[in-house]
Amino acid sequence: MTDGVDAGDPKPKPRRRGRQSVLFRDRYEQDLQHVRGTAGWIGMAIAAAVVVALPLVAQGYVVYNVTLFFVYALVALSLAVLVGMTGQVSLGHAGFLAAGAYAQAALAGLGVPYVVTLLAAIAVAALLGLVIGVPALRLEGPYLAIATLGFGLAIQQILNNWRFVGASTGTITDRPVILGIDFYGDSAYYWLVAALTALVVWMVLNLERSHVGRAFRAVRDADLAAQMSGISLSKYKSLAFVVSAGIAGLAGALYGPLIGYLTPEGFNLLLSIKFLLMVVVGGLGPLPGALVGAGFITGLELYISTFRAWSQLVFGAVVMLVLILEPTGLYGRWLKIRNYWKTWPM
Amino acid sequence: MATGLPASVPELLRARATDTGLAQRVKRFGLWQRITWSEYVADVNAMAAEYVALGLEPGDRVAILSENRPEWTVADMATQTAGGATVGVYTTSSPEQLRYYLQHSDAVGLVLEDAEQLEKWLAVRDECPAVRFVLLVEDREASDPAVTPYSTALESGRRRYLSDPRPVDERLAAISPEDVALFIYTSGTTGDPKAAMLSHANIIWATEALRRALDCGPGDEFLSFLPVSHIVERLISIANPIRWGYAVSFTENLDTVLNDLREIRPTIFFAVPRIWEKLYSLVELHMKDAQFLKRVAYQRAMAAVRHARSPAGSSAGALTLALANLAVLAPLRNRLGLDRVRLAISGAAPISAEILAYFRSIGVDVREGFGLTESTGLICLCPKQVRLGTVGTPFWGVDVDIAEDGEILSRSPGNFLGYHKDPQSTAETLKDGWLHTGDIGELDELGHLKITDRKKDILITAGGKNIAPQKIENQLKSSVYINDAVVLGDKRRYLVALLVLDEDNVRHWAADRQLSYSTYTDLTQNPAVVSLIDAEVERVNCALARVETVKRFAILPKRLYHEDGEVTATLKVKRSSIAERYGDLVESLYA
Repeated sequence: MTDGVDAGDPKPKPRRRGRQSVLFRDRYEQDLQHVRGTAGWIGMAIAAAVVVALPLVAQGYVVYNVTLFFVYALVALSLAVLVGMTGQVSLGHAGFLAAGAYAQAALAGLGVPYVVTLLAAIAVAALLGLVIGVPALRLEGPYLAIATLGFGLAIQQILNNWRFVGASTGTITDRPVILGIDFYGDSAYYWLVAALTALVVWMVLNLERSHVGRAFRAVRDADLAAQMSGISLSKYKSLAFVVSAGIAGLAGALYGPLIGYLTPEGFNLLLSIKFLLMVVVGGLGPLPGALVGAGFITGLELYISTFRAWSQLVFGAVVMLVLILEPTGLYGRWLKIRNYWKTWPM
Repeated sequence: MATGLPASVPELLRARATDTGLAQRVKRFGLWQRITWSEYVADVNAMAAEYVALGLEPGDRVAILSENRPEWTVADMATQTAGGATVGVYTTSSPEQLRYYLQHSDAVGLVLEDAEQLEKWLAVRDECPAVRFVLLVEDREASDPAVTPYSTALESGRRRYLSDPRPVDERLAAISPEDVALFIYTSGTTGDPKAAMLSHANIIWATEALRRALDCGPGDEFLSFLPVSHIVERLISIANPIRWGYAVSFTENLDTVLNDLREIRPTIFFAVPRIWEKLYSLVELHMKDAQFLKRVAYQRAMAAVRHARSPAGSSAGALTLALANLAVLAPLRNRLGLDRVRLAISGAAPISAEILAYFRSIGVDVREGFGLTESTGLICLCPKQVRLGTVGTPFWGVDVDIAEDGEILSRSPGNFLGYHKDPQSTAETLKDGWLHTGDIGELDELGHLKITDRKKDILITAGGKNIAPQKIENQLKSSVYINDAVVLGDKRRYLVALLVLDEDNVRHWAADRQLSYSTYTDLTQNPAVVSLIDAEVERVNCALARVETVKRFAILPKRLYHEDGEVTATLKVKRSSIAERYGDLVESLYA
């Protein structure tokens, strides 16, 4: 008898043979994690450290503009919920921003505590969202765009003629004091806005993964099929408007104290279009696209101001170029690059 | 030589009753769910108790008609625990085939997976009066008064076993190593399938031999996707893990194998040549379509491997090879889910040397094995140093000899008990303890076995030349566009081939060239496709002796199906059936 194919010692020994695949799932919670793995947490920690430390190292001018970016990012996020997740276009988001900003300013002027004014701003904008959202149920695509455009213009007209909020001359806004802590300085106010932005990002990311987020996407991708699966179109379409308007209202309430002076002129159609541009250039659909888009447009505006008379032309040209070269937006391009290396070499 | 070995696999399983380690994983609702050894044992005990209560006597058969899943393993081990023998039925079987298996094996029980399999049973149940109980695993999708839900039987058995474990424990204790444990129906490329009877001792020996050859144990991961009705898959995914304690994951279905592979990253991977060919053509086609950088990187890496393997390989070549491995080949193995594979095995049918060489070059050392159902699946396996073209050296306990006519003979503790109800075939196959394999082969100077062909497939051309068609067929099959090949030419002037297209790849190729076609049949007759295949056949012919070249070929106008009797359940082509069915087509090739 031959020894045969023989590995010798017939007693098995336990052994470790490398880590589990990153694709392996044995709990649904693994799909709910926003941050995955050690590398993810290290990246998060670095990002958080940079955001917190920025005012300590940067000039006031930079801090002011980054705060402005956070406010714009909030509006872009609100549009991402409405346009990206649910597929409803809005050309009137400057209106929701204005509603939030004026509501906060007006209440603050009456001596209402800051936290209450913030919540009231959200509520007012969300209520307006509901008012727009319900009739908008019958509208889609270009018709919805025109309807929301009308809303934005109407808000501007109302503010222009409303004496209580200063009509066309506008109103002064002040930085807040919360529980005795003074947020008057640019750095202090920066930290406040950054914290609230982080909170909203976290909430929207969670919303996206909840059944509501899935319903939003179902409505966007196949409204008939969604309806057949028991998703109420009217409920989720108007809910998307309410959530989106509420976030925009919060952004408005932070925007006023940041710039210090509100005029109806500041909430024009161009601003609404700029917000829509942010989500489109950033990438419609995935939420980080809104943040990337807000960063890109805010940065681009700052940079091209050096072109003086040419600045609007350069702005338009750059935006067109981005959309021609990468229809899925900047974040879409990043996803493609990431996927390219993830699937390397096959 | 069987001294010191355990008596049976059910007994070994029972010994794991308090083991809370991972035994099996199964994917349900997108998640891998864990089954521990103790849960496994509890289910087996319960099911065995229920079998006994339903009237299963020692020596009785229970048939299982299901895809691989934990319930399969429970139904199987419960049958053996209760002293019976299991008959695995391929899920692609027709009702007619199911009737044959049930009647031929005199099965008293039947376990069905789902509505599809229930249909088959309902069609033939009047002809199978011996079947006393039928269980249905997926009971939510179908029901029938004559069928008990599997879960109900399991719960009832649990109560029985709790109140009195003795009936089951007595059966388990009474198992003798020589008792029949399994009925394995040979895939039967010719004639009616025969039932090879394997004993507990056969299986215990096989696990011992596998362990000595493969060094498997706790910590190993195995992905089960080939039918467990096949002896080798049964060994590796049921008996062997029970003996050596490694985890088995059951794939969702055949379409998810590639994904499941990436998720589980098995350390032991067993596949039939068809799967290896599929993986190979998947990579090749992907790389053809890949973007520039990926394509170039892949080509460079493969070139580096070839250079390093060639005699001209230098130390600079070794460095390039290390770089290629790091940058391209390791990520490629990762993408395929083969990065942790320590033991890659091909078996159940001959694989072409090209495919083996390919996987070796990307760093997956596929070891080819050889065995028969009648030898409990095992005769030879390539050692770590694979000699391409051979199937390696005998397993522990196996003696291999070559008969005067070139037939391979094997003698081992794995040689089966005999064919059920067929003493004549048994006598023809087992003579003086030697198993006549029906394969022609030779042993080389290092004792590695080389297989030439099936004895009955050897062709003698009109010119008097002996030709082994299998070698030519395998070379044809290594083309990414050809899935199957049957080479014919017995008593003829030249060889012809009947070919089956690799549908995915040819469709892809046709789409790239914007060829228009309607049906699959239309595709096979497209002149461009015919010339594509012609070029592939010519390429193969270049490497063959002149008498071995395929002079003419035809592409079969349809896909081959197990239900139509054209391929076996393990997708081996039934040559005689094809030659007969397409007789006119063959004649036209000689016209």
